[in-house]
Amino acid sequence: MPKSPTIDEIAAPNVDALASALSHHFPIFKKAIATRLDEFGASWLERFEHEIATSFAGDKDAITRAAKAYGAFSLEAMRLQAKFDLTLRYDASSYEQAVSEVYSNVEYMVSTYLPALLLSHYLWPHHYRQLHWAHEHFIDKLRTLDRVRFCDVGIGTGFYSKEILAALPNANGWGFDISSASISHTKELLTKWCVMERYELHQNYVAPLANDGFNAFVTVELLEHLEDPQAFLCSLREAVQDNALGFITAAIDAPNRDHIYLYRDLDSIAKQINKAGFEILKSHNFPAYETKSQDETAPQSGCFIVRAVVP
Amino acid sequence: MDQNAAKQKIIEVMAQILGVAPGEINDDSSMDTIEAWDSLKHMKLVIALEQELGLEFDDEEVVELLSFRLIELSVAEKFAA
Repeated sequence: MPKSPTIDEIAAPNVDALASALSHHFPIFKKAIATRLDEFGASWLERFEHEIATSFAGDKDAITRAAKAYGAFSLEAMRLQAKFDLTLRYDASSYEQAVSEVYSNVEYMVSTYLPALLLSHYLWPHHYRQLHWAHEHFIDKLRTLDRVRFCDVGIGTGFYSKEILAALPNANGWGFDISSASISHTKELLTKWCVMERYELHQNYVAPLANDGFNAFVTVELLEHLEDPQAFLCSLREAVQDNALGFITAAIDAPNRDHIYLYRDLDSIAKQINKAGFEILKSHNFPAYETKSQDETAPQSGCFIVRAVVP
Repeated sequence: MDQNAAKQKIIEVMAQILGVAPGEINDDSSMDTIEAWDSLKHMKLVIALEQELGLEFDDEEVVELLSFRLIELSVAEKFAA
């Protein structure tokens, strides 16, 4: 088997800058980039370099801040995972608590949460596998539609809206999120990627379009943030056209300060999706890492390609 | 816990978490010399040390515990305090 290239063999100045900042501020993550490169190969590095170069616009200070955010966020997540192994419960008690401590906490959202999540799409192996899977089984399928009108509910960083708009020149998107920081971050991200003119942002829950419906939708790692994800899925079904294609993901066994609803397996998510009126076309579960014993859990991404069933 | 007992416990925990023989743990052992010592193993190591030694490391300390020597020094400081 050919040896994977090292980071020194491929010109990737922005990833280099990130690696240096991580090594300096969070040396426990200094092997992260070399490990991902070894795991996913040169194409991962090329995509990641393009992502950082565009999303951070060559701003080395912003890259350093993002590295520190990623380090702090990942450290907290790993501590929570160790605690979760013992309790099998999430600490966050209510949606209201998550809103006040996280989504409405602009300082935390801007300095830590959003930049860390943006980097996680490339640095967390299950997030990168999920991204690859979404392109292969969802975004590429949308190319068959004449005109894509998608909604992204719970946009977070705006990353998946950006992926769709950048891949599909015929797509228009509508993003929904309750966090003003997410709205601002998404607007900035999509502007840097030159796709903002095909996108509208709304600081509220998803609502049906007045004249035409959504024929596609994404909701990425939102369900676990809600007290009643079933009710949300039902409202999402009402907001999209019959036969609309969707990409839904939810975190499994993944404690975080704003995760409320605990999913322990893929099947429990699938049941809620079906009950809301969606047919599951494809599903996959991506664990962050292999567990070594039954007492150990690993965060996982449960991913679904769905179609809105005609009632 | 005296210093020797703490040192032996650190070696025992490191060997178990990092998957190396206790005899391979020495003053030169670090994230750079033990290939299996990545961020995930590091956090498991920290949690195990906290449980076995009955102490706590804050986040600033966690990111500094990059070698056997640094762990040993940090633990000694905590027991002395």
